[in-house]
Amino acid sequence: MASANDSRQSQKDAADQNFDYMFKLLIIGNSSVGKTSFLFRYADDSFTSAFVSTVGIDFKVKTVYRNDKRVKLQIWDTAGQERYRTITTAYYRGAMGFLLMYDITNQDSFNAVQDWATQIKTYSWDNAQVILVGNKCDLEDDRIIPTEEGRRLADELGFQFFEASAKDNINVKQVFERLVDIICEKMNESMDSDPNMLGNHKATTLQESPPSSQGGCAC
Amino acid sequence: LVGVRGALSGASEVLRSLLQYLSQSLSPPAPRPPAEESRPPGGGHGHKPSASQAQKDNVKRPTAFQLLQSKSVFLRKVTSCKTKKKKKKKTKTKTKTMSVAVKRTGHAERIAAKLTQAELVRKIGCKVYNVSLCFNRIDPYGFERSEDFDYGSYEEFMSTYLQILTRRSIKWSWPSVTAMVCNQERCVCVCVLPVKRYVRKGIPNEHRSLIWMTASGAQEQMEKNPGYYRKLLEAEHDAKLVDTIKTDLNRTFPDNIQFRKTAEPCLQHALFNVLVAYGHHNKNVGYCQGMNFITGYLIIVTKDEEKSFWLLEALLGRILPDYYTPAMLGLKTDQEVLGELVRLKVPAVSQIMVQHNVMWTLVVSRWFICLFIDILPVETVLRIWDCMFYEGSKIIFRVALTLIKHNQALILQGKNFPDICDKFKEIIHGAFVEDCHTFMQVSLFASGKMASKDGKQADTLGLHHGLAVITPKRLSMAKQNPWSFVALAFWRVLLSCVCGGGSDKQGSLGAQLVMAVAQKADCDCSPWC
Repeated sequence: MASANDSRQSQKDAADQNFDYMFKLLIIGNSSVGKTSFLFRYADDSFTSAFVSTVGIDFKVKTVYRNDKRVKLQIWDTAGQERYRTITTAYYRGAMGFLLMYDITNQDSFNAVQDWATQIKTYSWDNAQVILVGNKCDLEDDRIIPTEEGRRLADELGFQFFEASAKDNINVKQVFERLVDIICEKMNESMDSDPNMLGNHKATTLQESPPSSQGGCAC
Repeated sequence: LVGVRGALSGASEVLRSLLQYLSQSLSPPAPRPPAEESRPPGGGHGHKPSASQAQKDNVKRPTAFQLLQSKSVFLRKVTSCKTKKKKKKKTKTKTKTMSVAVKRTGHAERIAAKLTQAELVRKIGCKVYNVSLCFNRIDPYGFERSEDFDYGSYEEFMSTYLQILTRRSIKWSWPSVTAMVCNQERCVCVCVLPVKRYVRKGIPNEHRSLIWMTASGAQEQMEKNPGYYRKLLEAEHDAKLVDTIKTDLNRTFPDNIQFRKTAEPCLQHALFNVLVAYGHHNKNVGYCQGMNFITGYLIIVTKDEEKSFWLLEALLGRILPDYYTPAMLGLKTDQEVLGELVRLKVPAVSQIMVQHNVMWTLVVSRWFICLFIDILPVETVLRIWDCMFYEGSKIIFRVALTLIKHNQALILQGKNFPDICDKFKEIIHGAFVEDCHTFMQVSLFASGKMASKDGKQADTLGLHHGLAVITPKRLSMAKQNPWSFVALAFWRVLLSCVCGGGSDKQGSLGAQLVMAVAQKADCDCSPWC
């Protein structure tokens, strides 16, 4: 099913829109660590404490300018409950980047980071970039996970690390910008190492990503 | 088993042709005109010319919504509803259909005639719908209306829907109607009397709890197990389960004033209790996100913890098995089944989904998981649930198909993957879904026949996931009607095997089923046997 036909279609889709790259990003992490809030803060610059639990999977689109390039981000928000992994992991394929989120006031969510990292390894492609995000850093009084511990774990896993707060709008934009940057770096690297791939950016990364990537990865 | 699976994945094509064969072998179900006209005169009370006239009048009237709040307007509506009845009685004459139905209508009319207008409003109108609540910031169920809520079109809809509600309430107020529905386990007249039609037209809110309880079998279970719910609550709780549930308490209907911490009584407590009790009752399911919303609705409607518990049990245990279990196999299967049904019924949409690689789970998983809560308007959801408790899960397919079919043109405008997903978010808003009555009529009657004639609840339950034996009778049903339970069950088994994750038992059952049907339908099944 994932044939040249699909690729052409995706390219056509991409051509319809005004952007240079399209990145598919996923936000994952335990239930109630603030994934949906984080996305809403970034995409709509809004925050409400009245979010409902996310069931299933959804995404938002936002276009950013980075290094003179228009980058369209397709950011996927996933249900955190373990059971929903049977649905959400199907969408890991073709994701260029992940925000792996935990809640600095919740030990369980931190303990689960390792497990989520394994999920990424299992279900996504090797070049996917990951940033570990400790959310809710506005709740300093309730903090259970020290910053150093988060950083240590991130280093161990080879991820970038940020602490952030969707509520107080701390580091939200920075996290996404950083993720876009490292994806771009990685992309340039792989293009440098393989000169054949130069020439058509869109086609390049498209072929790099796994075939049935929801047609969304016309990067 | 591997062989079976392999065979089955190849079988998909054969199955398609088989289903096509089944559907061609008999004349396609005649598309029924929107329900009101097609009803047999005896049981009908549809929009005859007088009704459409009344509708017109309603539209023409100055439409400041405060107007409707005033009693006089409401009175006029009730009167028009009443006169319509009288007119209809004349036109109805002696068409002999079901004498019982005629008798019943006569009874309802006698009730209406006896009451003065004022009494009618007091006794029925207020019970039907708290009119003054219609146009509040808060709806009758406690949900806050959004900032952009369109009171204008809502008023237009309510001006006709109030009449319908009143009429339904008069009908249901005939004591034997509820008795009739409630007695179905004793098989009293369930086949003769149009219970299904009654339920499909909407259960008045004051009867909802009782009818849901009896139609789903929850009442029976509750009576068989007195004190069971209390016992579950008093027993020691699993700390992890409690934690998981607590995480979602504040995230269940934050837009409903009854679920706020400050509310008195605060429904969060009831929600917590029911979920904890269910988690211990069914350890395989425990707690799954989405159950919080369903339980929330049950509590709003029944206003009773124990009833909500047993209704939840009926839903998750019988009507939607395997939806919320760890593998969510039932849920996944049903989404695939919907995909197949769309392929048969709305091929263009199916094609565009394939073309852009949009997975059905992405656009419809919330429809199935939350049973349309937070997707469609509250009133519409309740109307869907009315049918679901009585007829089973096929209603979900009907509603989903109706949404897709009705908005086919819009979906086909989608140019790319995100665009198509946006269209699917668009189709769940607007006048079409707000007008729950028409929406249900379209869902139930206009999308082709789905149920078999003897579509009793037992069959729905028994055939869910197709774990049933193909009998000659069922086979002939399937032949007559590819929409029947058998065909549906058939898809479910097959897809749950093909999708993978099916147990050995399901795998072999699926294979048996496919072979049995294929043989009896004189279809060559050698490619995959």
